[in-house]
Amino acid sequence: MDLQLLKKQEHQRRVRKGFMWALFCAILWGLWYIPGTVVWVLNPFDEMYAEIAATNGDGMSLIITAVLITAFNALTVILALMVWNGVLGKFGEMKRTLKEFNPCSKWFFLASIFGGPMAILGSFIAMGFVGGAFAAVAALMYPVVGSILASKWYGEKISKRAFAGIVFIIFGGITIFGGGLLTEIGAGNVVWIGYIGGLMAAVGWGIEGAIAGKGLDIAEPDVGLTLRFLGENIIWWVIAVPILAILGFPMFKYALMVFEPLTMLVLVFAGITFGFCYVTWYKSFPLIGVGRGQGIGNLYGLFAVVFIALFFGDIPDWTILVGGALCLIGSSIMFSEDTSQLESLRGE
Amino acid sequence: MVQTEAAMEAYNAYWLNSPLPAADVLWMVVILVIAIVALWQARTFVSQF
Amino acid sequence: MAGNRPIKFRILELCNKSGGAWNYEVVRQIQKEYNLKGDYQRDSINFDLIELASCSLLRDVEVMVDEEGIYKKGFLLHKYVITDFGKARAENACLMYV
Repeated sequence: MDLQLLKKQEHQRRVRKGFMWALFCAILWGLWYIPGTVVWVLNPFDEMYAEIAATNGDGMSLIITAVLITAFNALTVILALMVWNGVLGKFGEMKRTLKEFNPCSKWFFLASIFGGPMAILGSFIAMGFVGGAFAAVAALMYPVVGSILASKWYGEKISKRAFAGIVFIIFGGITIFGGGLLTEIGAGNVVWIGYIGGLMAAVGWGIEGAIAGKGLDIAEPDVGLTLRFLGENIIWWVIAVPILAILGFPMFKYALMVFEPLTMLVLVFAGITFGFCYVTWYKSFPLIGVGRGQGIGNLYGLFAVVFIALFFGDIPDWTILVGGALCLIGSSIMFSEDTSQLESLRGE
Repeated sequence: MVQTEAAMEAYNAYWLNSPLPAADVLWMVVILVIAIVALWQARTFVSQF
Repeated sequence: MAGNRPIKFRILELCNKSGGAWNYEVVRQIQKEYNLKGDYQRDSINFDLIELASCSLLRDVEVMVDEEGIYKKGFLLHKYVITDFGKARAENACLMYV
């Protein structure tokens, strides 16, 4: 057998698997929007929203309710990840990695701060004070932040071609949500804090990816991601929820009312999609790099609109055709890149 | 505790306009299938190296 | 102590010698130390090596086709050595003496 040929094949296989994981991430992320949307109308969250909105206004209520939903989402993510790690036999490695705070788990806890309170909360702030389309578009910018950071910080190679692919996918996403974006901003009563929220989302997820890439140097992705969600659970349940309760919001009252079969079921599905989307995202980073992994992950915008159309019957704007085409061009630019460039992801 | 009537109504309204049959159950099936495929891939893809 | 630290740490240690180490040697050693049995665990550890190489912490100094089935017949055997970047990265983690 030819050595050079086998080498090339092995290497192409690695890159292909990396893209496969990033694509899984995008699909699962898109699917998350189904449970992530319907959970809002269920008890106790609808009542919680109404109660807080009556005293503090809609925008504020959306954020406070979002904290509780996100906290429960983080809990069910851990459940889903226990299944994932159980099937892959990673519990031993998880214990070993958790104990190595300084070299390993520190990075994942740090990633959880940027990905959790900063990005997710920012995203909800953008949603609450500007609108859903703006929140979606703002979040799409995160691969730019992620790939620039990864390249400046630890020299991840990001080719012009890969960057072009990322830019195409971002413009594709903007086009998909474009109509809604114009309506929202044109409405005029936009509060500046909404824009800050959008910025928090883009910067938060970008930084998270770069930090995760750093931690994943010397840890396994499945394990690293589980530690990241352990961190996020601590942030929500030990810090955010109690603080909001002390400030007088009815956090615990509604948290205790969540044990209702349909609400739990929807939260479990939110956990499966969110947890698996994140773990596949992390799995792609060591194989194709943070920039490409995030770029392909960005296809979630397209998948979300498609799944929402399929399951909710919401007919998307015609701009989805143009935006979807741009996403497709961007992805093929990345998929078809000569992979010999990717022998190692970082410069010497 | 059960869902209030208003909550159930809002929940069920989501699936009414779906072009797919039994969309209220189908979305869970789709998620489970994709999740299982991902897990199966994670368990088997390392054997290709 | 063997079998107590994350697998990637131990892999970097094992590859931290002049001339490097063959992947099948590293994989067998780790399987023994961590008591990880079976083909899936073997492939999983080997994939850790591939990830480390992909992130430039390891680089292969020699590649050979496994004709006789030393490891997996028809697959590639890699001899990996730790890079300078890998050493620097591992310095605060596992290679205290570097």
